[in-house]
Amino acid sequence: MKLFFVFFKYHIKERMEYRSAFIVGVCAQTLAYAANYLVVWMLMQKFGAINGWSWPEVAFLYSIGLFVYAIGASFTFVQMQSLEEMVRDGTFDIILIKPRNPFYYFVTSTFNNGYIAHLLLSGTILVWSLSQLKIEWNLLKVIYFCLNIASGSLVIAGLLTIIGSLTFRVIRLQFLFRLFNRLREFISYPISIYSLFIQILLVFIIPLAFVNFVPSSFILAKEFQYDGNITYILSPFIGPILFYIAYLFWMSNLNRYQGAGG
Amino acid sequence: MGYISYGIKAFLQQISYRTEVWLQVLGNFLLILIQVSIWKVVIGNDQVEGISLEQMITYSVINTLIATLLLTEVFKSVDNELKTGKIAIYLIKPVLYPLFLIAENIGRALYRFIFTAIPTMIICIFIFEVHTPFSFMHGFAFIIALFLGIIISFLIGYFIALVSFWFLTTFALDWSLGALMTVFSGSFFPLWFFPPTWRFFAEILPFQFLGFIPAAIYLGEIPKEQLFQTLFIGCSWTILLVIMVILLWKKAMKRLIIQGG
Repeated sequence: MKLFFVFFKYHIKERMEYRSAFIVGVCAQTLAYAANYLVVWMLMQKFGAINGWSWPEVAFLYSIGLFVYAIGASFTFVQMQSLEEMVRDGTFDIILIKPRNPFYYFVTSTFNNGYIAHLLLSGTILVWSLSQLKIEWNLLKVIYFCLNIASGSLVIAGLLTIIGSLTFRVIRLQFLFRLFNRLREFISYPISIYSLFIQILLVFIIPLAFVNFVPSSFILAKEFQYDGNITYILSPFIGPILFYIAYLFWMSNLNRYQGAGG
Repeated sequence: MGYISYGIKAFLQQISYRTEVWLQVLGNFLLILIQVSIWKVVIGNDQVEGISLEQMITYSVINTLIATLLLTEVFKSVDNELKTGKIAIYLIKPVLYPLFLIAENIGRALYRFIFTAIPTMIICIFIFEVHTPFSFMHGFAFIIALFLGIIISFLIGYFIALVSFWFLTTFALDWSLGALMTVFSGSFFPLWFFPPTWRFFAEILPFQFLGFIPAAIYLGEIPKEQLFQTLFIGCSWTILLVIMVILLWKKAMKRLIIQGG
């Protein structure tokens, strides 16, 4: 953990060398995500509700999705994406000779602070949507909400880790990452609008439903067509379990790694 | 024509990625599936603003195809060549850099169209109900509008590339352009459903040619009498952007020389 903060400090220092470029970049990213919100808002304005979800409810759902994604991706996305190049040019070997767990060292050695825009915007909209929605908060809901934010982040991190570990097998990943981003668009809307096949896919196979839909349904007290209680109880555990599986998968794939640099 | 061989080269380079083609087709298909699911829920068997569900399905499919043909990403190759200094090589060659870029990017777009857009369309025709063009005349106008869209997308991308001569990075411009395209191209959410103020802004901007206009023409939602006028506006945008790009290019060249110092 100490190691992480040392890296983190240097990373922030490095970024702040180019402060104005960094700030302009954050503004542009905020604008891009604001555009996504705008489109959803226009859709909701025109049609009132989507499958019984009002605009503040969809905003709540969407914001949790974006917020959780930013947390999960900030310590996996760039790492896993750069892995491909590191393997190709042989710099990855440096990580293997460090006296640390290679996964832990690899994940903490870089940290992407490019998600400030995501967090600021989704956080703001989240607070706004909460002010619009009359949710009866109790201790259980608060704890459940926090646990699910953590668990959802681990779902995202786990899925990205699984994709990243495929580098050791197939070498080219950019299309898989793009596909992952497409899949992520499914959870911008309540997943109950999709056909049963896709819902099953998002719950059991690529468990993105647990990132925002399941916890939002619980907190907003939505009717849930599956066996609600079991899904709700399972939800905070899905992330840790998936991330652990992803970790094992990454490590087992690492064992196949022979090094590409001659 | 040397430029054509540049285009062919870019096309052939892409073919080395053919094993990933099915991932791209799957990605395209998923995008259409998301959109169709939304329209099914909100439109159902009704008509909204005179638009039916089948029309919106066709709209989504057409827009996914258009997106594969757009050349806005041209600034990414310029960005790279600017950073590495490779741009100097192109400037001393007896080729016009913009024409070279067009050739290269059309080569890539053609690859995307043949290997990802056409398979996606075939799958969609089997699964959903996809309309044919509204009339022969609309089909013809659609093709012209599509070409205008491709040219405008190139000019916008190239404009961004030239602006990046001053900033030396395209990161912020990339995301800002993404924001404008998301809303104003109407490729997911058509201009018909926009609130009046937003519709006004969408109509005075060129981005509607990168999605909404060609698809609306295809569906016959732009009446015959207005076709000519619509295409005329597209041509005007093209000319305006060409002028802006030429002026900016001249300034950027001076700037580049200073930098090389």
